[in-house]
Amino acid sequence: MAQTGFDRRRINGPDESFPPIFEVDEHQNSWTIGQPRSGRKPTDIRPIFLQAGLINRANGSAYIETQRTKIACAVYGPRQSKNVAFNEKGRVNVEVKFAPFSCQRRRAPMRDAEDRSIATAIQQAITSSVRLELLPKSTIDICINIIESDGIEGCVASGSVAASTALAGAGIEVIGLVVACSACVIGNEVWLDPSEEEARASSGVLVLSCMPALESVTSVWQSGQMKADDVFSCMEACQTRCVDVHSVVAQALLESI
Amino acid sequence: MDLDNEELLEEGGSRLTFPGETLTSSQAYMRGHGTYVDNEEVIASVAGTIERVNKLVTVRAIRTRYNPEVGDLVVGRITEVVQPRRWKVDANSRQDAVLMLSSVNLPGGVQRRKLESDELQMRNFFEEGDLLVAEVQAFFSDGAMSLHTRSLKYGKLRNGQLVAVPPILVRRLKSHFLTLPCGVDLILGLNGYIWVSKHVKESEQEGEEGFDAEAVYSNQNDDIDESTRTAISRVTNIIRVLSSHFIPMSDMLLLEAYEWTVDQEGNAKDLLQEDFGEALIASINTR
Repeated sequence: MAQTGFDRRRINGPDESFPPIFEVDEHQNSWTIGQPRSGRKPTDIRPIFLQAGLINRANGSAYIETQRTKIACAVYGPRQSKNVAFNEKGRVNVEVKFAPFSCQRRRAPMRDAEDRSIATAIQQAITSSVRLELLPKSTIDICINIIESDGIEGCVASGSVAASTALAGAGIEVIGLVVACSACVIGNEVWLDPSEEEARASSGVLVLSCMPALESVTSVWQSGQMKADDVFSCMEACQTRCVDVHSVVAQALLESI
Repeated sequence: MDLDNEELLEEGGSRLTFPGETLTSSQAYMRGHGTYVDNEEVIASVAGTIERVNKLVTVRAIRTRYNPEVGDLVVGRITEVVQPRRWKVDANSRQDAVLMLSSVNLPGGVQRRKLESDELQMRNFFEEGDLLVAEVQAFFSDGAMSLHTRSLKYGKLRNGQLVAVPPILVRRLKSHFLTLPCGVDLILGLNGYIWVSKHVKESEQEGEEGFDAEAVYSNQNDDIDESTRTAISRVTNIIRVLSSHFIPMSDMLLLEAYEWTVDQEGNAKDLLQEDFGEALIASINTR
């Protein structure tokens, strides 16, 4: 068996396979570096579809879709932590999973650390909003399933929004709703909510999570090269856009109850 | 966004809110459950309906875990037998509930002293996975609840089926032990767990004098005939339909719903079809 990465626990495909060739690639974009942004303005974000409470078994859940980013999120708990020492505060566990078909290339299960880095970023964004001091000995489990991914930044931002919505839907006490927005620097412009392609073309990307109701920031996640001035302008642009996202989340929550 | 007083003053009004929304000033009002105070403002911390009693502002979340209160009747499931002398019970709360060996009735007289042999054979009374009905006795310092089954009404459950609904749908009633005329007993646990079982005649209940450990802690179901089985599953499915349409449970409602389904001559399983369930809800609403 010369196959690399053979996984005995799953049903594996045939030894030799060929990717299907499509006649037209509908997502083919004729956009190249240097041109103005196609489809929307630099400060526009992709339209958000958000629905709370679609998974019956979970205590709270949410589904978010921003064009080609599709994420389902479920919250279980608060329930008693198993086999851990007494802790006066609760714990938040975040687990992120990619569907095998979520990206351009097939995501083999448990093969890389990308899902874990996303989980850490989302956990950081969410945890400070939860009133953990009210939940001694308890654990909250947040399961995030990425059904389709269009850039890691989009996944972190949308994942945080979905997780916060699901937490509120589960009736867990939080100090405010967390919303997130991503931005990238292309040339000397700030583009909000970049797609995968745009993020790849940019020099640096930033995800800002905040609670607009309390006017506070919960986390900033930045990668790539950025000047200090760019960082500030990105954060400002994100913050103003987050207010709009916040009203979408509040609307979705009120509709679900 | 500050609420003006008129909106808050309207008692019993159901205005919805979401976490982080400023409700009112903390100088004029007191914070209740589901809110916190920051910067002299009362802010909501859950999504739900705002309720106000005099100067106390609370927010009630729709879907939440069960918040226990002393004296509540709950249905739970044993998750663990732990030393010293206690069981862990899942009661849909934030933490596992605790049932002490000293708060159960032991065979051979209610007032009997606990022996070491009782401690060693705790699994003879309750085992992992067993269902029981109990009352909330007290709270521990960490907020976990302590249960007791020191009444003949409480104890191990058999001859029936469990349904879980959101705890908010079970209101406090005069009695949480219901008997429907179709030969079905219901136990509405305030934690949202509902036990639907075969009716036990009063005379056949284990009496105080002849406290029969065999019967109380038995793991064997009695014989249940076909019609009772159908009735049990019919009631279970009615509860499922009601909970999916978010209607609070009450004995009158369940009875009406049961009569309606019998009139419609549908099978118990028909209830789970969406249109049949909606017809049921519609018929209840018109009455």
